[in-house]
Amino acid sequence: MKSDLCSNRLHEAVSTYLRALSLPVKIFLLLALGAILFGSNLLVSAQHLDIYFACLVSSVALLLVSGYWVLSKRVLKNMLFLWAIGVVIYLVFASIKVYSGGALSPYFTLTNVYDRWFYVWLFPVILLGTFTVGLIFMAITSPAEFLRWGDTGLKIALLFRAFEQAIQVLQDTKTALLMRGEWIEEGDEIISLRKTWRIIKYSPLLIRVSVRNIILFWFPWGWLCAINLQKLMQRKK
Amino acid sequence: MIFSYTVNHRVLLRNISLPLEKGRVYLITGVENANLGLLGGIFAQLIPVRDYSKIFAIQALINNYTGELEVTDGALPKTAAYVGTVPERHFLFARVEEEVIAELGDTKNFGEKLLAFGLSKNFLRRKIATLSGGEKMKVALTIAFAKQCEGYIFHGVIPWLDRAGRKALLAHIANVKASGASVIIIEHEIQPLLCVVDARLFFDGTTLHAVNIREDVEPGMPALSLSYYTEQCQQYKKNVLEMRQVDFSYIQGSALLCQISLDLFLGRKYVLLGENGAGKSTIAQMVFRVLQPQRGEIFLSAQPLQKYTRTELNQRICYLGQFPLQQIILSTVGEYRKQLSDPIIADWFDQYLAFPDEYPISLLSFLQLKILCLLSALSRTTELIILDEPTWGLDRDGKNALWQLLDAIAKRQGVALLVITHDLELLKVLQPEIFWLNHGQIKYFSNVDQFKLCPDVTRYFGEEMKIYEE
Repeated sequence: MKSDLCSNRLHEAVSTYLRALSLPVKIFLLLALGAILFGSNLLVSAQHLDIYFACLVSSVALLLVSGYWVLSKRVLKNMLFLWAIGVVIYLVFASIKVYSGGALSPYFTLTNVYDRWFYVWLFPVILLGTFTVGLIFMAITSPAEFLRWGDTGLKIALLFRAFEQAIQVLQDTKTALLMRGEWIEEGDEIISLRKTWRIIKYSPLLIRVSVRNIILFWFPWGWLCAINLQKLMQRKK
Repeated sequence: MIFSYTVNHRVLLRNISLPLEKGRVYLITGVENANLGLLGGIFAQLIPVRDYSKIFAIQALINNYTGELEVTDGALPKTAAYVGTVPERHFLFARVEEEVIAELGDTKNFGEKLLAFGLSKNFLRRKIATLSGGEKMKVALTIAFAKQCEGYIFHGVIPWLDRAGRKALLAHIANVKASGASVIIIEHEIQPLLCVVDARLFFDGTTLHAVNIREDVEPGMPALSLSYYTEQCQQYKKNVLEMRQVDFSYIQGSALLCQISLDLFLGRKYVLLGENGAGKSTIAQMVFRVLQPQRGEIFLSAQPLQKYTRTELNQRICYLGQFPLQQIILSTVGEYRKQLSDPIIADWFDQYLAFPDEYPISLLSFLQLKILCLLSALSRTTELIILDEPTWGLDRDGKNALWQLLDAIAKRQGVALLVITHDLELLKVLQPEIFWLNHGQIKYFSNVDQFKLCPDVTRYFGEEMKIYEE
């Protein structure tokens, strides 16, 4: 109980510190981390692939630890879950390519199976790093911070907000589906084929309903709110 | 001030005339339709919106907001604050703090302003999605009153507010009135507003007429017989729901519900009473297994809740949440109609929702959405109906329609009815057994008289109880 309280305080302190950073600093950090994750690909060579892979995995692990301190456990869990589903599907296709012996990259040739597997794993690891950085940025940045940039800022804020709202609507829709028995329940920790099948079966419905709800029920008033805010900003000028 | 509003040559509002004198409060009552919503938006200068969307589907959604406004005499207030019927529609941002910064520039003194509506300063850091409807409305009102405006427009606000909220609203209206601002209130519940209103107008769907302030003031809802319950409650001894020592908290270290125990019996009606944010909806969501208790057990018909499959649970519990839109999955009335297998429920559906199959759900009113959700969640084997704030956002006719339907359901099948509310008027209407949730603890009262005689209740509700005794 005491350790939980300490952990909560630390979590709060880290989040507060990061939130207090100015918007340009946050954007710089986002771009810099993005550049490291994607840009470092340019440095990769066939000889040092294992070292590069180890460095990348360590960096992403560090990002995940930071994510643990900033993001809620639920967000982190959902992100890892979605990433894992994607990775499983990706690896099914990737393994065929690894063992079929064809060229994996147009820039260099990899003959060793271990190297080929390292190379195949680069993409999901980079993607995991990108997701984590993106979510940390979203958690420590408020759309309202963009309002300082005038009309352009308002448009960015509205877009950002639409994305946030999409996540919220997705959550609400999941609860509505759960109430109809069309989604798995919170307590269902054990992964079973039946539950996974249910997720796969109802995911299109979840996405369709979420998109519909955003367009029909959020967009018109979100848009009205933005226009109202625009008027308010003009008056303040 | 006189104005008309047309959309594509269709006159939606014709020669709307309102003197709008400084320091006066105007009450508009009348026909509840989409035009009444436009009226408030125009007074607040939110409508018409001058932007047009090139995307046809989007333009269709916002079409009624982009009409032509013709002001033939006088002028609209230069600055106005508007609070409308749907609480979440006042917020563009995800957190209260963000919204306040965007609208007011900073959060200075806002915490103190929230206190006036009975909300703590911590609300500034809360996510808007985690607030109850009443709390959202209180935050929206606090933001509106924090703005220095020439006019304030409130539409359908009263049904969302609890005792503290209504009291604070009236006090704020009196303040802005004294400071010379004009206030327009569009509302169906006239009684609570009589002490601040200076003039009353009636809206017939397209125009406004002046009427006497006290004309057609309804004394309150008549007590419903809900005859089934009064006749049968003594005969039934079947325990539908048991909650034993249940704890729940959203934030670690800060318990929302502490050692909650309650029993619900078949054929009886109950009200779970508590202020906005007391944890009433959390109890309902735990019973319907949307949330899991952190400690304690819940039994449904003597079986642990976890033993039931979701289908079995849905067959036994009919749950209607605060925000029916969040329960909507399908797109048209017909899609819901097709899912009804019970002929009597299908008959009720056709009676209350007499729309063609292709009618979109997005065009249904708040009441119709509630009825749609209620009927689609109901089955012949339902034993427990949970209604979370059923009267929120409904006018008097809406409430009557909902109670009539519930009476019909109760007469047909023996169900336990649990109504979650902050509205003391429901005690008079339903004459239920009462669970009072206060500061995380629950107290049981077997009838309204026992509730009224409890010294804690008298101390807590004070004058409010007397109003509902009349």
